[in-house]
Amino acid sequence: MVKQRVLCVSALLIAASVLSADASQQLPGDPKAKGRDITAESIRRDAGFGDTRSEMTMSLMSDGAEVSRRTLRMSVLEEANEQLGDKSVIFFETPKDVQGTVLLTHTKILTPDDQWIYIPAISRVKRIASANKSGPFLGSEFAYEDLTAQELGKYDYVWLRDEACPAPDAARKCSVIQRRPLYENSGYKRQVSWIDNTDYQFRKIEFYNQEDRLLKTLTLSGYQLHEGRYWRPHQLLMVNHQTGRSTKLDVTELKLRTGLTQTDFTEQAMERLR
Amino acid sequence: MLGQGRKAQTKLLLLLTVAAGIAPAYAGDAGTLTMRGSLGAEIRAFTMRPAYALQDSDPVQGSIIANAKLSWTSANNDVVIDVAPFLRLDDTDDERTHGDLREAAVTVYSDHLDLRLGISKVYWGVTESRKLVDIVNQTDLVEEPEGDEKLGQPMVMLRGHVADFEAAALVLPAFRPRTFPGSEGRLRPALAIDEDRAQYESGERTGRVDVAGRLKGRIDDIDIGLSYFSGTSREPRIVFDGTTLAPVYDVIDQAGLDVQATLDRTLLKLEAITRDGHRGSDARRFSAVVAGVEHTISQIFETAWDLGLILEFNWDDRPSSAPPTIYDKDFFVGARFAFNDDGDSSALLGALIDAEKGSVYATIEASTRLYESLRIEIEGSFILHAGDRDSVLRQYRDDSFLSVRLIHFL
Repeated sequence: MVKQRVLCVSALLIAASVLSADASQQLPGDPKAKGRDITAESIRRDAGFGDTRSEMTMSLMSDGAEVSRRTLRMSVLEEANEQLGDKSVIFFETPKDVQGTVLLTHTKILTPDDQWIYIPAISRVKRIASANKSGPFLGSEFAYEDLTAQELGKYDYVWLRDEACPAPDAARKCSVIQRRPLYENSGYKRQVSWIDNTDYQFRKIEFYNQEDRLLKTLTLSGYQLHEGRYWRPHQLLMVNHQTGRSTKLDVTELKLRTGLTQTDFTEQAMERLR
Repeated sequence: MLGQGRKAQTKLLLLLTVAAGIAPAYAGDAGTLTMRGSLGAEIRAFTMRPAYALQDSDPVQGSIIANAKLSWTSANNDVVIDVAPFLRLDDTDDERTHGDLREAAVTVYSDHLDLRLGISKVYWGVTESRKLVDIVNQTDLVEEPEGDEKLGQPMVMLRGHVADFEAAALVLPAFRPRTFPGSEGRLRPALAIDEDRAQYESGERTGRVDVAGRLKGRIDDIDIGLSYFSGTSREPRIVFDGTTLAPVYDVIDQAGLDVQATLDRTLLKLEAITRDGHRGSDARRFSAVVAGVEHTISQIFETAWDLGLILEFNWDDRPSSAPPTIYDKDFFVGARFAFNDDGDSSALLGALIDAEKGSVYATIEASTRLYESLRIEIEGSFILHAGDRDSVLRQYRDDSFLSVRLIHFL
C-alpha cells in the first residue's frame, strides 16, 4: 500500500527552529536563559528532518477502558525559517464514517494557524477558523495546541531544577523547565516539561489550566532513533486529571525525509488523497 | 429528440473511452486501491397529510440508500481514478427510486496542473444558507429539498495552480436534468413536475456543450473566487404545458463572486451572481447576493462544545418568470454545534425568515456515531409559517418533515 503524505507525531514534539541562543547576553546561571537554552537544544537536535510521514492509532480511554479508536495518517513538512511554522496534513482512515476527511494546517508562531478541512462526500475544501487552539482534537484529551509543532518562540521559559527523570527512566537526570504560552488563545497558564539531560528529549509535560490547576499530564515513551540521529517518541499518553479520561497515541509507522514538498501541503493536494 | 439524447450519450461515452484509454498506460502499476461503501435505511415522517391529489396518503416514507466509492491511486501518486455509484430505493415515490454515477473520472496530476476527465463533482462557494455560486453539478432534488445533493457531471476540467492562486477551465459535454419528486411523492407543487416533458432552449437539448471557469486566490486572511458559466441553466423555469408542469431549461450566462475572510473566530462570507438568459415573459438580467457572518464560540458552558453563530442575508431580484426561489429577501439565523466528542457529533439549527412576506422556514441537521461503523443522521425541514404572498413556499406548506437515517459503513 502506498504511503501517502500524511503523518507524524513530529507535530507533537518536534520542531523546526534552529535557534541561536541569546544566552550570551544573560548572566550565567540565569534560570530563564537556562530554560530557554535547554529547550532550544532539544529543538535543535530535532531540526533538519525535512519531512515525515507517519501512521498512528489514537485510543480514547475512559477509566482505563478503550471507548473508541481512530487511525490517522499524518505528514509534516519542516519549515527551516523559524519565523514561520511547520505544515501538516492529517488524513482520517477510521472510523469509516470520517474516512477520507483531511485536515491541512499551516502553523504560525504567535498568531492563529491557517487551517482547511476537506469533506470528501461533497468534494469541498473549507477554510476554517483556527483560533480554537485549546479545544479538544477529535474528542481526545489532546488539544489542537498540544499537537502543533514545538516552535521555540511560542513560549517563555524558566529552568526550575534538575531531578531524576520520570519512571521508567529514573536512572537519568532531567531538567525541569516551566514554559508559558505567548501565543493567542491558549488554554494553559503554564506547562512544566521534563527534558532528559542526556539526549534532550521530552519525557513528560504537565499542563496547568488558566486557573493554574493541574489539568493534564503527557508522558512520552517508546523513543526510537531514526536515521541515526533523530529520537522520536512512539507512544504518547495524555491523562486528563479532571475527567479521568485519557488518550493514547501509538505511532505505528514513521519515516523521515520522504521527499515531500510545499505542493503536498496545499488545498489542491488535500483533494488528491484517498 | 431521441437522436439528441443519443448524441449526449455518445459524447459521454467518448469521454469515458478517453478516460479508459489512459488506464492501460498504468496497467503495470500496482498503485493503491481503496474501497469504501455504506448502506443506509431512512424513514421520513411528514407532520401533515398530503395536500394534493395522487400523493401517497402514508405520512411515512421509507428508503434504502447505497453508496460506494472505489479509488485507485498510481504508485507515484500522479493519477487518481474514482468511481462512485449511488442508489436509492424508495417505497413511495418512483421518481425518488433512482441511481446515479456520482463519480467516474480519472485525474492526472502534475506539480502545477491537473486534468480531470469523466463524471465528477465540483463545489464552488462559501455561504451556509444558500449555494448561490455553485453551478457545475445539477441538483438531485428528490434527495432532499435543500438541494445540497448533486448529480455527477460529465466534464473535462483543467486546473492550474501557482502558490495561492488557482485557475480552472471546464468543458461540460452533457447536461443532467434536475430530478423532481413524482406524483405520489411529497415536496412538490400541486402538480408533479414531469422530467420527461422538459423543454430546452438549446436545439442540442441535453447534448449542448457548456463551459465554465473559475479563478481563485488567497491573500492572507481573504479567499476570493471569480467564476463564469455559459450554458444550460441548472435551475429550470417551471411552466404549465397544458397537461402538467414541465421544467424549461434556458441557456444562460452567469458570473459569480465568492469571498471569505477568515478572522480568528469570525468568518465573513459573501456570494453574488449576475445572470442573463432566462426567457420568461418579464425576462431580464438579474442579480442575487448572500452575505453574512459565522462567529464561533469555543468550549461553551465549560464543555468541549463549539458553537458557531450564523447570520446571513439573502437578496435576489429575479423577475417572476425566472426559476422560482425562496431566497428573495430573507434573513438566515443558524447555530452550528460541534460537540468534539467520541462520536464526532454535530448539529446545525437554522431558520430562514422572509423579511417581506413573513415566512419562516426552519431546518435541523444532526448526526452522531452510534457504534464503530454505524452513524445516525437526523434531518428536518419545517415550514413554520408560509406568508400569504409567498407563492413558492405555500406550495409545500403541508410538507414539513423529519427524517432519520441509519448508515452502516462497510
